[in-house]
Amino acid sequence: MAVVEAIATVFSPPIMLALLVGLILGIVLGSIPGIGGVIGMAILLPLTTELDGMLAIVLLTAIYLGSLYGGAVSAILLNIPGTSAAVASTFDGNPLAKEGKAMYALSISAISSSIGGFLSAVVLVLLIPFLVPVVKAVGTPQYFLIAVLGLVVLPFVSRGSQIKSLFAAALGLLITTIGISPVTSTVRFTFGVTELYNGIDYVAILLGLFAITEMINLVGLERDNIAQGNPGFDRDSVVSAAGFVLKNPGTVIKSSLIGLGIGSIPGAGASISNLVAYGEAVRSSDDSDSFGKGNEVGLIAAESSNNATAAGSLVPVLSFAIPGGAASAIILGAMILHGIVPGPQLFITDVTLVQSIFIAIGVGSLLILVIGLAGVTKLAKVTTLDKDLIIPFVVIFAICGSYTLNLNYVDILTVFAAGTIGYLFRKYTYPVVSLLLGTILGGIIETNFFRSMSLGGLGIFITDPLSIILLIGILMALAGPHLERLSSRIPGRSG
Amino acid sequence: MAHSKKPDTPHSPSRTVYRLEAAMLVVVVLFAASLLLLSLEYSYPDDAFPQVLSAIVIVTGLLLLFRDYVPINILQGESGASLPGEHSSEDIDGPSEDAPGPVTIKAEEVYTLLLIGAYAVSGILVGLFWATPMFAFVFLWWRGWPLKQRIIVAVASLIIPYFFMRYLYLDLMSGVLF
Repeated sequence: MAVVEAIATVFSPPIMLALLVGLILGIVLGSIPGIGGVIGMAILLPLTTELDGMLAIVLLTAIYLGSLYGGAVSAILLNIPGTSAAVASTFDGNPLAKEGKAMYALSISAISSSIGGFLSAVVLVLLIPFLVPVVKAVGTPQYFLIAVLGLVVLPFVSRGSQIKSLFAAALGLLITTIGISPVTSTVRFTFGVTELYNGIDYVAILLGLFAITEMINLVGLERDNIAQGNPGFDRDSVVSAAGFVLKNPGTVIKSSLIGLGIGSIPGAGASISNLVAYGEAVRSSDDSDSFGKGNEVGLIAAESSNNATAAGSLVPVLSFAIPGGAASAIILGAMILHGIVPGPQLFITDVTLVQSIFIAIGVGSLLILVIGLAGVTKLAKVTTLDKDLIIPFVVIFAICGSYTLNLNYVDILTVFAAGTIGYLFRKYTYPVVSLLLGTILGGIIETNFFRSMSLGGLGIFITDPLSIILLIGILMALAGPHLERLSSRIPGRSG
Repeated sequence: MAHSKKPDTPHSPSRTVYRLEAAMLVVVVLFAASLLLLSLEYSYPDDAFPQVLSAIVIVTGLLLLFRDYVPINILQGESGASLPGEHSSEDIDGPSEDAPGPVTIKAEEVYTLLLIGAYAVSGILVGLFWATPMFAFVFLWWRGWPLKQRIIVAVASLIIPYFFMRYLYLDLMSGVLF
C-alpha cells in the first residue's frame, strides 16, 4: 500500500536526518528577526542538487516548518516576530513573557505548533484519495485558468494594490518570454547570448528577491543585534503549558483547519492564517477583552494555524505546480531541479511521494515539540548574532549558489538585478510575490493557453463546469476590491 | 564579537531621501517597450504573449508613473499588507520614526546594494573564490570593524566558495579576465 511505503520512506535514516537538520536550521533562522526560513531555503536550494529529490524536498520543507515555530521565539521574548507568520504570536506571547512566564509561553507555542502541523498532515494524508479525482479532472484549459487565478487572487487575499500586483505579475510573466518559446521552440530576446537560451532561471530570481533584498533591508535596521533575557528551562512550565493546550482542543483543531484551508489557497500563506485564526479565537471567546494581554488561547490559535499552513501550502504546489508563497515556490524549485514534475500527473504516477511529503510534515511537527522545548534556552542567544556577520555570509551563499544553477554568469547578474528590483519593490510596496509567481507561472500559462486554443479556441474555456467556476473565481478576484469599495459607499453600510 | 562602529551623528549622510520609484517605473516601461518592438519580428504564436504582457506592463507602469494626474485613485485597496513570505526586516521593525511622508532610502542600504553589485561583477571577472574575501573585508571595513576581525572573517568567508568547489565541483577560481 502506498501509505505504508510512504511511512517506511519517511522513517528511513537519511530522511529522518534531513528532517532533524532542517528543523533545527529552520527554528534557528526563524528566530532571528529579518532572516526567516525563506532565506535559508533560498540559499540552500542550489546546494540540494547533489541530494536525492525526496531528501531535498524534506530538508527544505523541514526548514520551512521549523521557521514557522522559530518566529515565535523572538515574537514572545522580544515582541518582534521572527517571521510574518508569527505576528499574532506577539499579541499575547510577549505579555506572558513580561509577566515572567516566558518558558510557559514558549512551551505553549511549541506544543500548539506541533499539534497544528501534525493534524494538518494527517488530514491531508486522509484526503489524498479524494483529491486525486479532483486533480485528474484538471485538463489543459483548467490548468491555464488555475494559474491565472493564482496570480489575480494575490491582491484580493492580501488587500494590496491591484494595479501594482498586475504590474509586478505582468513583468514576471514577461521575463519568462526570454529564451526558447515553450510553444514553438523559437528563440526569443536572447540577443545572441547562448546562456539566455534557457531563459532567466527563476531560482536565481528567487535568491535575489529574498536573500539579497532581505540583507539590504537588514543593514538598514537600527539595532545591531537583538538581545534580551534568556529563559531558563522549567519543567513545571512545560507541564502546565501542555495541560492548558490539551484543555483547549476546540481552538487547536479550529485554528489548524483555518491554517490548512488558507494555506491551500494559491497566493495565501501563514502570514495571513495566523491573523485570521487569532481573529476567530477572539471572536468566539467569552472573554475577548483579555486578548492582547496574555491570553494563552490567542497564542494557541496563532501557533497552531501557522504550522498547519505548511502542509496546506503544498497542496497547490503538488497538484498544480502553483506555489502559495515564497517558501512553497522554493520547494517547487527543488522539485523541478530534481526532475520531479509537480502537477496533476504526480498524483497519478507517484502518489507515494505526495504521501511521503505530508507524512514527513507530520513527523517533523512532532519533532518540533522535542527540539523546540530542548533548544529554547539556546535560541534566545541566537537572537544576539550581529547582523554585520549574517549579511556578508548570506550574500556570499546566494551569489555562489546561483552559479551552481547553470554554471554561467547570467545567473549571478540575475541575482543582483532581482535583488535591486526586490529592494525597490519592497520600499514602494509593490508585491514581490506577484513578480515571483509571474516568473514561475509564465511557461505554464503560455503553454496551456495555446494548447487550449489549438484544442477548441476560446470557447473551450467556457464549456466545462470546472472552467466556468474558475472563470467566475478570476472575475471575483478582479472585481472583488471594487465591489467592496462600492458597497461601502451604500448609505447605512459601514466600511 | 565586540567591535567599534562608526558613530551615526544626526548630521551624518547616513540617511538620504531619494525618489527612485519613478526611475524604476521608467526603466521597466522602457524594457517592456523594447521587448514589444522586438517581438514584431516574430510570428504568431511567438509574438502574442510578449506583446500582450508588454502592453500590460507599459499601461500599468504609465498609470503608476502618472497616478497624480489620473482622475481616479488607482491605488485603492493598498493597505501596505505583506504577501506570504514577503516579510522584511523593515516590516517587522516597524516604520522608521524619523522618516515621515516620502519613502526613505537609507544610504547604507544603497552602499550595500552597490557593494553586492561590485562583488557580483568582480566574481565574474576574476572568480568568486578571490572576490569573496574581498567583499567580506570591504563590507566589514565600511561597517567599522577592527582590522584583525575583518581579516578573520574574510578568511572564514572562503569556506563557502571552497565548499562549492570541493563538493559541487565548481570552478570558482577563474573568471572572464583570468
